[in-house]
Amino acid sequence: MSTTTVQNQTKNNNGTATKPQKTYGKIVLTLHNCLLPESIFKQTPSQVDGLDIETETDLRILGCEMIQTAGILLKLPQVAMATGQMYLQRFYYSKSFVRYPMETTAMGSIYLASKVEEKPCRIRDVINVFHHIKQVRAQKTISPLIVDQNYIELKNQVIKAERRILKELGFCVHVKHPHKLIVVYLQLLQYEKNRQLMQLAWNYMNDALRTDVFMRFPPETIACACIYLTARKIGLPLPNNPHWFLLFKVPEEDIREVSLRILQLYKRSKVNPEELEGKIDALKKIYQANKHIQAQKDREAKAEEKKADSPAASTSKDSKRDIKKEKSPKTPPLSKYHSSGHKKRERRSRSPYDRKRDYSSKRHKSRSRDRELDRSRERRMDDKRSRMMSRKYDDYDRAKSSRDGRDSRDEKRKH
Amino acid sequence: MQKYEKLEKIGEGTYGTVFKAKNKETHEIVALKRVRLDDDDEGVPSSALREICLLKELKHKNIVRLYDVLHSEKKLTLVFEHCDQDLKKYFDSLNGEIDLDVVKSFMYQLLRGLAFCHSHNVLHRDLKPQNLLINKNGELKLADFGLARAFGIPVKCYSAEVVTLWYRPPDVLFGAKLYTTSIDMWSAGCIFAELANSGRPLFPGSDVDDQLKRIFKLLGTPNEDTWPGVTQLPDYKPLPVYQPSLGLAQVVPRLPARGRDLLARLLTCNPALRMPADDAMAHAYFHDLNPSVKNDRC
Repeated sequence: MSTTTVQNQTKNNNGTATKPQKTYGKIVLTLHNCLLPESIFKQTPSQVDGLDIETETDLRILGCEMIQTAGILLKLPQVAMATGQMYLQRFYYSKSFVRYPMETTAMGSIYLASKVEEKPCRIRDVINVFHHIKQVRAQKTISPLIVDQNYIELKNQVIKAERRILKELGFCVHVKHPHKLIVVYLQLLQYEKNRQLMQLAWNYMNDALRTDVFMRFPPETIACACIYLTARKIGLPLPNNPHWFLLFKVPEEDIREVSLRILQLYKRSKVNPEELEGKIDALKKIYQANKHIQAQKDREAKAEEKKADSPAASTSKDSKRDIKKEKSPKTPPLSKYHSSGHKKRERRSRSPYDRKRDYSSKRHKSRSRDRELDRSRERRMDDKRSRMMSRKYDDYDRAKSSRDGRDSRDEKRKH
Repeated sequence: MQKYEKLEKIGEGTYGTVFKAKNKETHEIVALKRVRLDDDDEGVPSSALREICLLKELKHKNIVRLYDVLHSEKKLTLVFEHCDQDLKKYFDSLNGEIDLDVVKSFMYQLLRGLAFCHSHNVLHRDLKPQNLLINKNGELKLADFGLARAFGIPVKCYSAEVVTLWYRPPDVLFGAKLYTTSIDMWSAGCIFAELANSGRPLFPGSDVDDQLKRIFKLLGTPNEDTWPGVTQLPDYKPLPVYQPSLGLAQVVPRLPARGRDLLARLLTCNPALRMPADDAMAHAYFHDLNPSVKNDRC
């Protein structure tokens, strides 16, 4: 978005537009409509399901980290990673981590973001990369993902997650990132040649994606906060008479608030994925049990009503209906997925993917052997690739953690 | 889905079938664009994605309205405002020459729709008569945003297949990697000439080379003087040097002088000099436009 529009939009938002506003309809391609009221942060859907705030924050951080890493491995532009992380963050302010697994949403987010930012990647690659990240994390030997029923199931889950995200975000998939604002602001302050300043501010910005500041403050404020943090860190005095950020009409207390929230990120201890998973699993069981009980209660209440409606309850018809009803409670919780499983399997077997496989294994042994060879060659290539990727990932991780570590130490000293 | 009663199939869109349908409650006629999801294993098609998220936010009299998105297990249905025909069908239904006031009105509405898109940082990228819808009241609306995108920093040309060949500007034909709103303005110019000629396409090229030759035969082959940087474009190739021989008067004989001036400003090879939509709307050609068209805003 060009600077002029950015400024126009801010003007309009402040209601101080001097130009007569065109009578056209309004378009909101900005983040302004995505700022959430305080009440939502106080009681997120996950908290309603019994998840504590710390675990939720950890899950958000982990999810964003996975998206960032996956994006690097998928060679996506940074804007796609930033967009994907925004989707994940926003999604979990309308849905709960207990009901919708973080990883699937993270995969759906990066996949959707890659399309929106016009650098589409394949679902297969997304799944592979996540598989790889998890192996690296668990320090297992790297082995490629096998294409089996589980893989197909996972792929369907990712496709579903993509649509669920779209639905929850109301198809508002365009995100206005403050990255460009940093560049523009530093140009206005005539610091655009200071590479260190620019790069560090940008780093803060990318780290900030893991916090909730994007749901709390407009991008202008976040851009200023990142510059503010960087200037403090490298000890660069910025104009203070009047304060430089007043030029961008951002109040100082907002900048401080955003800065604090970003700094808190570096004080957190490293996330333990297994522990988080355990917590979610436990809550999921409770949720499912509750759902089961609730469903039963509903059914009983309905049955009561029916009985009250028809005094001649002992007719054979009614008893039949009751039996039928009693059968249905056996649908397991999260029935949304399970009950349709049967149908899905049918559909899946009709997919060209499966047909091809049947074809090769049954009729064309030789061809299937060829394919087998191809596959093994491919696997070897995959191996090689993943080894390369892992090295890259390790490097990235090391750089990252050392930076983070340094950051947190610095901050501690400051405080 | 029960809200709408399907009436008839209108056509095949870029990624789904389009039906005419009636809202059972309000009896309003709408167009349903159905996107099948189950036979596509790469999720929601990008073109549908672009169309939804851009059109959702572009509400204007000269842009087809997206009323609703219906989401079900196997398909996505986009509910659009219904228009009776597109500009191509309108041309086909003409008996004889088009009324010059209609040309002016359509052109103004096209520019107004484009100005709105551009002021909201949206490029259409696929303007052609088939994508301009006409309703009974003589209103023109831009449709099919499947190739559109929001732009910020200079947009990269990801595929040479942007814009149907006949309406593709010379810079994109030369493989320009960066383009902006000027891409739509060239298409608008081509459509302007086509309108004035009652539906005869201006540059019906058969391939990229033929397309470029047809353009340069009319406008003259550009060089570094008329268009600095042209030789640096990725797919630039030296073409026969044509002098701007034919005057526009011979190409669009029915268009008055002011109209020809506007057309020349839109059909400018150098994208940097091509006239933007809001300037075009203020062009002298529209000074005597029927005020009912001019003031009719959304």
